[in-house]
Amino acid sequence: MARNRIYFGMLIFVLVTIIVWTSYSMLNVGKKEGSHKISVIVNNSNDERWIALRQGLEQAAKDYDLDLNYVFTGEFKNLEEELEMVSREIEGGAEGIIIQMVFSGDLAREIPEFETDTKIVLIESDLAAEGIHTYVGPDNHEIGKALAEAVLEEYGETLAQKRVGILSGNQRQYAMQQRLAGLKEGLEAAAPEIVWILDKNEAQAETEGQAGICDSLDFVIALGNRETEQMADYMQIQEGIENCLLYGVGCSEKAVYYLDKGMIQTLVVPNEFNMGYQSMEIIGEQLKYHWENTKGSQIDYLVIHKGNLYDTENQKVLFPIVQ
Amino acid sequence: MKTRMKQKQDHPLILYIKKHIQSQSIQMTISISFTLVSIVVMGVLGVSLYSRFVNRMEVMTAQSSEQLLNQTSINLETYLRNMRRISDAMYYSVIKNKDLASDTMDEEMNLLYEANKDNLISIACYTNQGELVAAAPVATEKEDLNIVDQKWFTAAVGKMENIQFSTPHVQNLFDNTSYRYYWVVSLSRAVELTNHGNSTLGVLLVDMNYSSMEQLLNKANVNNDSEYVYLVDSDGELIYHPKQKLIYTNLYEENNYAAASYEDGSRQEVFQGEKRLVTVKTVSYTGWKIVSVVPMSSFHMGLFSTRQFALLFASLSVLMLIVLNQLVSAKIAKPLQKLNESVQDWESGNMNPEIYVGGSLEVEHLGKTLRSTVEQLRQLMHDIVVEQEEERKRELDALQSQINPHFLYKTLDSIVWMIEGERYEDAVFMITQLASLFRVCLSGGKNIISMEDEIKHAKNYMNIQKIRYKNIFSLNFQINEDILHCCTVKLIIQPLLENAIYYGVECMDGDGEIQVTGWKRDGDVYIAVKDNGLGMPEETVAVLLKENNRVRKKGSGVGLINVHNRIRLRFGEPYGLEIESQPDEGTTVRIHLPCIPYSQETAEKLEKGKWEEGKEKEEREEREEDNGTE
Repeated sequence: MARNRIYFGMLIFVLVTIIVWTSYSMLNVGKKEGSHKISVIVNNSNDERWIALRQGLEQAAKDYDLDLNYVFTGEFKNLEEELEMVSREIEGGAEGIIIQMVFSGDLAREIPEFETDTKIVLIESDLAAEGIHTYVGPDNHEIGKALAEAVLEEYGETLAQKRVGILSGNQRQYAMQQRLAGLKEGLEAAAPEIVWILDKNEAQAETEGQAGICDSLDFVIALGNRETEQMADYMQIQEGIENCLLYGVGCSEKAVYYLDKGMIQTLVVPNEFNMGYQSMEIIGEQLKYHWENTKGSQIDYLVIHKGNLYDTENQKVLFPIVQ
Repeated sequence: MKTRMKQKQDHPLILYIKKHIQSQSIQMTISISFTLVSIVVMGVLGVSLYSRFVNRMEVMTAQSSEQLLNQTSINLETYLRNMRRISDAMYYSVIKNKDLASDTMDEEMNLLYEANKDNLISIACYTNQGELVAAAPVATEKEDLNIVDQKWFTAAVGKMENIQFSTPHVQNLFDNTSYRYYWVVSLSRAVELTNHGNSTLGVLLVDMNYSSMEQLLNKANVNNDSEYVYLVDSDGELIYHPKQKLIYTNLYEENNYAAASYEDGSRQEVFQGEKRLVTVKTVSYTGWKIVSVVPMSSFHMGLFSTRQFALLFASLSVLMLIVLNQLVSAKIAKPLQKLNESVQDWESGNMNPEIYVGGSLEVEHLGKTLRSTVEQLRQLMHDIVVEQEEERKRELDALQSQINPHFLYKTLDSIVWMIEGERYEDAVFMITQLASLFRVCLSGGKNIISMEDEIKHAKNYMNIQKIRYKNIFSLNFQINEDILHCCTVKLIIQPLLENAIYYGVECMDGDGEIQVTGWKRDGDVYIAVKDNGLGMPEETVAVLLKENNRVRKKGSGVGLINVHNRIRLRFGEPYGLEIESQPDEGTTVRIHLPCIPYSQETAEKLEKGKWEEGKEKEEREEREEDNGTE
């Protein structure tokens, strides 16, 4: 009899538990779990080169129900300024930060601890000590080599007699260091004469100064989007350098336009839509499932020249659908 | 067959259930049965209702998808019709009326463009060599363009009778110094151009702004995250998809090529292991297909709240049914339990139980019947008791009647003997004593008298005997006064004295001693008759009080057993006679009686045999009190 009462009590308990649980669940139906706030910090955030990245970020934010905060930034002057921006975002409640470390080359090992659980994903550029932070971006060394291969394809064995100038971009960024290293490695065998290598600030001064830096060159290789646009702008207004060709890395519509116009021979275009989408996806999953993924993801890049610019597949990657 | 059936019946589980049910109370059995039935019924009902609801929801979802597709299709067709009208207007109202040698179509083209520029990127007309005839808005054509190889051009020239719609692509016609590139859907058609009166082939191109179309289709995708709509051309090439860019960059896949082969309507498909409800609608003019996709998983996730509600409803129903079952089973079982308790009370020895009468009609009838039965049984038992009492009285009377003639015979015999011996004074004394003895003996017909009278009776008797035996023995009475007012059965000492004389001191020639003592101990009364006569061996003592082993030597031989039985019949088993005797030492016969203070009322009760009943009742009450205390 007593055992029956226990069974009966257990049955009642189970039923009451189910009723409470279902009632609670029904009351909470429609209440959305608070979405995670993700801040994205890139250099000069309004630059047109980020259009594809932003599209990728927004698509992933929608798919993974994340609150995207695309931080307005200007030109970062130094590492401290960038880190301060990161601190400010963490203080502002960001649970994840996607950051393009402009001065990643200045960091010996890792980003200083912020003493928070904030997830950090690096885009475009990893740190010299690779693998510490999650990195989503292209293989920059390979991009450098791809540029070298494009040049080799153009000049073949005559490359050794050619004179080349390199706009190495921001060499305080590890990505640019890698690209330069990859380029040099690619050109090493053919051994063209590298007349100059100008970093970001030097190039700025030279191109604005209207000096004839390309006068005796056969081609110029620009390792960054800005450098490519800068050099194309420069070459457009300079006379007497029609024979000087430009090879560059870029993803802005302006860079593509210069390619379309024939002012750039070959453009290596990292798939920045994927970079945005995958970085957001990884950080979203880290926050949602509470797991640490430091592996990141490597994105692809296209090697575009005038002949394949309007290929169906290339169009889909190169041109953002802007409403 | 029988063996098999038997085996089936003997299945341990069935046996266990049977045994379990049989060993339950009625209330528990009813509750368990009702509860099980409730759970099963609610379970079956819940599942079947839920299944019907799910099926209905699927149908409704399919209908809703079709409605959505119809609406989207109408919007898209309206949009495309407008684009066709632009193309028609340009062709039939402008191009056909112009001779390129003398006329220009720029003004009309610009007007058309301006009127529709929200949805258009450009309108352009080319010769069959790919030379630009006119374009709006006015723009610089790109250098080194190979127009005739562009898809829209080859499609128009290839199917001259139709208007051709391209898939989305980036326009590659005009130089845009603001670095803008436009995604367009090209509507191209072969046209007849007139130049110096000669007809030549040309192509009219209306580049629709893809973003306008995308916005239009996006409206169909704002409601539900999991349900979405996409658009493919007749070959399955993607025209619009909410995750178009992801598909372009290989981060997402769609079953668009298979969807192109589907007929209009709803169907289920499995894509990448996911079951989906797909609804297809073909768009007029173009052969494009709008496809709606509802992943079944998301559909079932949408039913989560419904499932919760069904579970809540079923649980509440089961809980309420359990409570109801408890109430109903209690209503049915409680009267039976109370009736059972009454019977248990009766079984435990209470001959006057309170039989419960109540509950349903059947139980009430059962209670009434049982109560009547108990009543009848009680009456029957009472009758038996009365009958037994009568029987006992008759037995007592018979025993009493055994004494009177015996004693009378003895006394009269003595008086006769005295008269014959001319001892008249003694005879007078004896007759006087006999008269006194008979007065006590009669006692108004009562069997219960005070101890004082009984002692007096004994003394009278001994006075007679002493005369008769010429004082050959000495006599000593030591009776405590506190026992004189106790009740006793009459004529119990005299037979003992008689025995003491006959079997003890008769042959002792003046040395015989008879001592009568009376005292009270532990609430009982004791009277001992002791002689110093011949005594008896132990085995004789042992059979002395046994009915079938009477030792008859002298006298009637009924004295001891008579007294013993009379005491026990009146006061119960613990009382009666106790005999101690040693050969050559003497004999002591001890009467053991309860100490009951004598009064008229008590005597009457004892006469009716009520003393034992009252005593038993007291003892039972004491037992019950003890149990209660425990």
